[in-house]
Amino acid sequence: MVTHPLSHERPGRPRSPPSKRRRAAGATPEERAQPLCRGLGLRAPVKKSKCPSCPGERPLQGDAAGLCAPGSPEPAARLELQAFRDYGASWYRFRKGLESKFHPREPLAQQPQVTAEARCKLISWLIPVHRHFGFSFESLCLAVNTLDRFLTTTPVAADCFQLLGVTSLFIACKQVEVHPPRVKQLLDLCCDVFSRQQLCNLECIILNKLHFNLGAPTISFFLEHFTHLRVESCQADAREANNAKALAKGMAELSMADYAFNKYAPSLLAICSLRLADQMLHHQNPLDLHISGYPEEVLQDCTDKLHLLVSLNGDSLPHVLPPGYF
Amino acid sequence: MLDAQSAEKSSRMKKLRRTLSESFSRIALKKEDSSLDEICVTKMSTRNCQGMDSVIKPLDTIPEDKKVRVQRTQSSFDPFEKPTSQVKRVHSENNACINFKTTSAGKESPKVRRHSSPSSPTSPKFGKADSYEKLEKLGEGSYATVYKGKSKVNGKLVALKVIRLQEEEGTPFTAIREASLLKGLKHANIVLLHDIIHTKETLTLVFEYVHTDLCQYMDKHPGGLHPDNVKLFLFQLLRGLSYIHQRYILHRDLKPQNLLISDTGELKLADFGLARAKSVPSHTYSNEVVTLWYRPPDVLLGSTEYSTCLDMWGVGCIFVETIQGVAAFPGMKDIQDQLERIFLVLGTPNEDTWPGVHSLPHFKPERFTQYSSKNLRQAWNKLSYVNHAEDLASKLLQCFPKNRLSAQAALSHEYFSDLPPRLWELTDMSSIFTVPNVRLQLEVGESMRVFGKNNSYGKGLSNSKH
Repeated sequence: MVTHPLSHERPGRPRSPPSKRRRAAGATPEERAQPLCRGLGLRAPVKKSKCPSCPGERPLQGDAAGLCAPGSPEPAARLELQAFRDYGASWYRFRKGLESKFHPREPLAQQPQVTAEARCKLISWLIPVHRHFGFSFESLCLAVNTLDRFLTTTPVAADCFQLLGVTSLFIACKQVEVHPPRVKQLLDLCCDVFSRQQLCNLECIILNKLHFNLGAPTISFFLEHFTHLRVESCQADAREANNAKALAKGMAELSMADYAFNKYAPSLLAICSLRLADQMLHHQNPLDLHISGYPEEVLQDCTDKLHLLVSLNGDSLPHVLPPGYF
Repeated sequence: MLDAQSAEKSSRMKKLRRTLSESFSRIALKKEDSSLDEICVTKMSTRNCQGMDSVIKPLDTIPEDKKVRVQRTQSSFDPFEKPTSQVKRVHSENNACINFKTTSAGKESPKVRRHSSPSSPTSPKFGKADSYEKLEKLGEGSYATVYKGKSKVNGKLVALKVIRLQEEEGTPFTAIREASLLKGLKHANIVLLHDIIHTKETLTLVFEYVHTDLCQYMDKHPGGLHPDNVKLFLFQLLRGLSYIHQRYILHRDLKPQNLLISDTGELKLADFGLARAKSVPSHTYSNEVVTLWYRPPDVLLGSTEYSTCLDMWGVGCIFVETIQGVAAFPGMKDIQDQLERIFLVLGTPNEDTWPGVHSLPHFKPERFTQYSSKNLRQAWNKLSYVNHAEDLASKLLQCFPKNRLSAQAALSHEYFSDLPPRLWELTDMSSIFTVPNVRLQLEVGESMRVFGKNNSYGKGLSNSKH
């Protein structure tokens, strides 16, 4: 339904259809002008050189164009709602049913080298990377899921970890993006410390290890689902629903980077992010939490943790919060 | 402008470049005698990358000395609450680090990548290339070649879709989509994926073998199919589509070549290379997806936002084609011609019949002749021979996407009311032909039920766009 401002932010993307370019141009000026990292901004020229330090970089600021403008949903959004009316309940049922099969609770338990800190660092980097390419939130979610599930199958050395990150993103994009990235672009992002052969090999290994089971239910799906439900129920106004979704998405991104949140299922994180977003935005008609089927203690526990995470990383969410919130 | 844009882009790109770890001398999948394979490297690197402030602070980032263990109160939703309130350290130290096995890691030749070669399958679940005997070639497509094959285990016939692995961009996205989507689909009207064989040069998808496809079947029986068979085919098509649509999957490339027909008349949806799980709705699809004849007008007019109704237009076209014996909208030239053919029958849309049509990228009212809508039977007379057929076709062939009947709703249409009720109670994997008295009728001029010997997997392939 409602377009993510984020998804359309792909300036200068060569193969984008015209409609996308138009929307990219409509992104807020500060968003476009502000680089993702305000450090030296220089490319590390050779292997093993030090990376540019980027003080004050805010990985999450792209999210967005922030609060959605009021107004009726676009025609396409109405179309999606139509399909949602026909099939929404069964989509939810199936995705929810698949959740436990695709949920890696402790992907690092058997890892000799990869630490929660390294995972956090990698995902904190993948977030601006996926945004830079204009990939959907769905791609990011799938990438992180593929990464985590692969980690449960195979010990990975610390110095291959970044390669695993971009390869997971590569696979995720091939699943859902119209224009997946080129291998060269991904290698370039890693300062060319890996080879094409390595990336393609690892892709094969991942596909093999996961037996091509790649269609995980994602936080992205559940955020959309709950937001649709809310708009459909006619209680919430569309603007509140969309604002909550935009903020919740930012929180969900944060939570993916923090290993402590791995124990929570995507549907739980989605509903709790929306709940917290409603609270922070002081919405008049907050989401009805019963639709998730989770007991109150479970919801409360997860929401508390999210709240803590948001207060630790508040500066990452400036664009989705009302001015002067923090 | 473009220069400025690309400069900005590349500058942002540079800033994203990061090395998250230091030494990458090699990557190799090591097969240990333990059950787990390892990806290992010669040298451990634990150096922290700079630019740490870009990293999201996890809950356990607060230094121990500053950590204040706060009782979580249920009402602590003060947004100004400072991060000093640490709930609890979530990671226990002991699961963070298992001793890294350095054995043999340094001894292996640095060039070795043998274990990553998928020709030694790392998983026993994965099929071995030699468990199937390759028979004749059935067809060739842009990225795959299809062979008839035979299982050495049970002697059953299979179709082997052999996908060449490109060096450049790794595994083709079509293969990834087809394999990952089909793995989760088990339905009598969806082609069954038996096995995946991953070798160094190729990826082979092993499918159940189905004798022919709807395109060949119609070629063999020109002039329209037996009305009862049309109904059974359409019912099965809708059953399969309803199944995937309920699972959040669009086929996106419906056409007769992609509907396989078994010798008993079972219809199976195939070629999921362009299918995808529905995703964030704002996400745009490539508008080069559906073969022109079966492409809905909204997509032809440049809409890139579509949903399950995309597939339903194709169902309408196929329904008409099976009943009438000619393609519903056989455009000869381009998109414009294709649209003209559609509007000639259904009427040229306007804001009244199709709210929002004027804002579609390629809709230029002056470019289209103004046609009024007609009864479908005027265009396809055989629709009037069967009760409710015209009504069902008109509900599927709606220019305004929102008005198109869903697969689920179409299954309840009166057109199907003379079929045995048990057809609606079948389990997913049961064929409709398990219901008594449901069987394929002989087509006109058919003395024996012998169907085309030529399989047409390849035909479907070669026509698909990538």
